[in-house]
Amino acid sequence: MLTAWTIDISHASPRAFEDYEKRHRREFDACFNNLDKIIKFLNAGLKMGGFQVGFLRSEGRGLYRVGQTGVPGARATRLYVYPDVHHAVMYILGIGDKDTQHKDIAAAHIKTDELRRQTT
Amino acid sequence: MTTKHTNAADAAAALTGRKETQQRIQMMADRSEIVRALIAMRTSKNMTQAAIASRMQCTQSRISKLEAGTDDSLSIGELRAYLSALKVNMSLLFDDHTEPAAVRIKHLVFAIDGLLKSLGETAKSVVDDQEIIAGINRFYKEVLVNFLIRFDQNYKQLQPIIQINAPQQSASEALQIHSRKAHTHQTKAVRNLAHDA
Repeated sequence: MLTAWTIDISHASPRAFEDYEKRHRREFDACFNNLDKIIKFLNAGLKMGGFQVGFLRSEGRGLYRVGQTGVPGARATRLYVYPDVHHAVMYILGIGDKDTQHKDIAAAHIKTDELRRQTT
Repeated sequence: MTTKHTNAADAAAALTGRKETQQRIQMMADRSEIVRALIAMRTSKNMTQAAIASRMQCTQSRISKLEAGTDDSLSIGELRAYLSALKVNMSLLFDDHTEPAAVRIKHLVFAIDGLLKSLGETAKSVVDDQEIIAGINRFYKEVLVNFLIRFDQNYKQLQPIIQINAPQQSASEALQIHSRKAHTHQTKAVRNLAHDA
């Protein structure tokens, strides 16, 4: 039987998401819409890594970024997530743009390392 | 604040603390059904975006953008070309709500007839495969059961409104009678269907 995936936001900073939504609403919405697509594919039985879509990229150490591709003239936005495939939980870790991606990825990697220890 | 959610719109709204966020993203998700279906079909056929792009004679970047967007950003031409690249046929059903019910029913019946003919064509190509025939029989039985249940429910809803005379037998009685007969007639029905097609 398929397990329905849940989305966990306990490792994300609400303040960062509030700010990002205010500054780049279209990109924010597009990222979450693409996350919705991913969750629906996983709920339909597809595996992480088992489907190739342009808006989902691995950033190593279990971290993935969900992009906003498709929004004309948009600011390149990345929603950072960690999929815990053993428990069917998608952890939202952060959001940022191209300018802050090195800092965002470094911060998200610290969280994924911790989550991987806890969940595997 | 709830930290676990079953969909992205709820998760986003919990992060921003705004109900409006949920409504916006949910609306986008509802308007992405066709795009999601295209990605699902491509994935199930183990096709890459590059392969689709090659058949559509466009760039992979175009496919990537198309798949990351909503149904609103998809043109009919692109939809047709994408489906053609997947070797999937498209059928459209226009149901005009301003038409009288009788006209709409007629159109829907024609649509069902068209689908049954298409099923007959498919059955014709597999008529010697007993496993598939058995599958089609099971399918027919399921469809019939669901149809009769819905017919019965609709009939009960309509009865007080339009005061239909009581039928000689209810749909559930008809279903029981049919179930007894169906077992012996199913294979023959599928074969006939294949033959007619």
